[in-house]
Amino acid sequence: METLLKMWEYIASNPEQYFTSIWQHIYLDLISFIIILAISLPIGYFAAKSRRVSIPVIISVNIIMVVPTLSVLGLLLPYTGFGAQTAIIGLVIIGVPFMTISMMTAIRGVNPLTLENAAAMGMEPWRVCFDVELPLAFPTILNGIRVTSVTLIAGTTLATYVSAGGLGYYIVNGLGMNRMEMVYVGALTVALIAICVDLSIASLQKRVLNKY
Amino acid sequence: MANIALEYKNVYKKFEGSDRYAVSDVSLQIEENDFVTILGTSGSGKTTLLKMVNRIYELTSGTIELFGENIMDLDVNEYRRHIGYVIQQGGLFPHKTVEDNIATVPKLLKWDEKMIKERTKELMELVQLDYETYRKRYPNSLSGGEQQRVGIARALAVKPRLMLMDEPFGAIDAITRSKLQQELLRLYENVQNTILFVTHDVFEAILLGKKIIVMDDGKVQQYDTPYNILLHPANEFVSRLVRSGDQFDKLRALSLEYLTEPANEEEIHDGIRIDGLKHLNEALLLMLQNDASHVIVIGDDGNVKGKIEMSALKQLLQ
Repeated sequence: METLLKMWEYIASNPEQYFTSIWQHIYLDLISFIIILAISLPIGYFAAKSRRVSIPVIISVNIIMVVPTLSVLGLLLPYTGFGAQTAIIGLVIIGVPFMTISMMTAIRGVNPLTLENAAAMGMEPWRVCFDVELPLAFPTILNGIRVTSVTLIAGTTLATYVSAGGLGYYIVNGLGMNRMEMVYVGALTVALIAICVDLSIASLQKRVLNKY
Repeated sequence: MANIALEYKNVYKKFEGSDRYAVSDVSLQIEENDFVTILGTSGSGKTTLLKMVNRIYELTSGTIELFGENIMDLDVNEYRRHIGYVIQQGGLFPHKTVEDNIATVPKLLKWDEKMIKERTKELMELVQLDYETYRKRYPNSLSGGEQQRVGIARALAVKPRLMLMDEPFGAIDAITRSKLQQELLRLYENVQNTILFVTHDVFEAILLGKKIIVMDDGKVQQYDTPYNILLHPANEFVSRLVRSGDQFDKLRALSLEYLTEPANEEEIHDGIRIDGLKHLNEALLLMLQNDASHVIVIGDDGNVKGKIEMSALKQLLQ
């Protein structure tokens, strides 16, 4: 109770900074997520279709996944400097492997007979893809979006190390100054955002799956 | 002489990476409005023979002609829209409602909405699915039999030039299957369409087909009426295949017309009458029940079509 009160006082002492941090956090996530989708959806799609694409993709994904988030940022700093751009590039590097693999799995999960049947009815290849294949893969793609977005929201706490802002500021500085209420403000807000995003995607997924 | 709907001319098919022909030197003609079943075991090439027609498989050599046109010369998508296609479980789109599934090809052909709605209604009536009850349902909430009805309605949507059916009733329980078979026959009588129907079930092939293509090892073993296939098998393979089935199944599958012969006045007067739409098993039953040596076949119009002799039945069962 005492901690909660302290947290509240802390936020109240500088609400503007609190909301700016939240906005920065969400902003970094959104931008990097859009870039991740733009990269992962096509790569994942073609990896599902052809072995020649999937083998190099799986190997690179495995290599990227073993590199810790913090060291990705460290490796980037000399090249991209401090600021949002470094955080975004780092987040993209972290998110792309998850999303690519999910996209690949989702596309592979579509029954090939359904696709054959769509073509046999005279649908053009692009129509088979957009009208049948992607809608059928959509619930599984949402799974990937769920995992990736939660990973991103958590990962964005490290953005503060490259001076890109976000809620990580409270955690890192709170730890440094040994002010636990600051750490809690940051951590709980991040957790809250992650839970909200996770639940809303889950409910969307449920709605789609209930249909078919 | 009826029109030739579909003609295979020296058709070969070899799949990449395989050293044997899946279909080898097939030449045959299918007449317009005929119901032809393709019978064979798995690996006989029966499905390959079918799927070359809508160009899911491209043929290795030879030609296939639909109403005299080489199918390879036609625009593949435009061509496929006029070929009805039904596979196991109907191959319905699970993310589309019954209504939208049926409307698939009409939408591709850019029919206007009112016309699509009317046609959908009409088709659902034809396959005995209540329009209001089913139109908004998704395929996974339907039984196997209902899904298959939707599949058939969808394939019939634009009055196709040809219907291809690939073991459509393969995954359906025996009672529902038998019902669907009867309905398909009734449908066939009503809509008049050329149908090519693949099955591995001897009984189904005889029951549905006006003609049967027996396939083995990629080659056509025999292409003939069910009656001739049963009574005059072309070779050892066909004879083994048709004998593997139950003898009574054959009677159940064969319609009366195969054994109907002209009857004289006295025979017509004395004979017990049987509805011409029944099958030979019922003729046998009637003769046994009444200790008769023949029955009189009555056509749809109420006129006498002829008689069936017990001796003819005996010959069939030998």
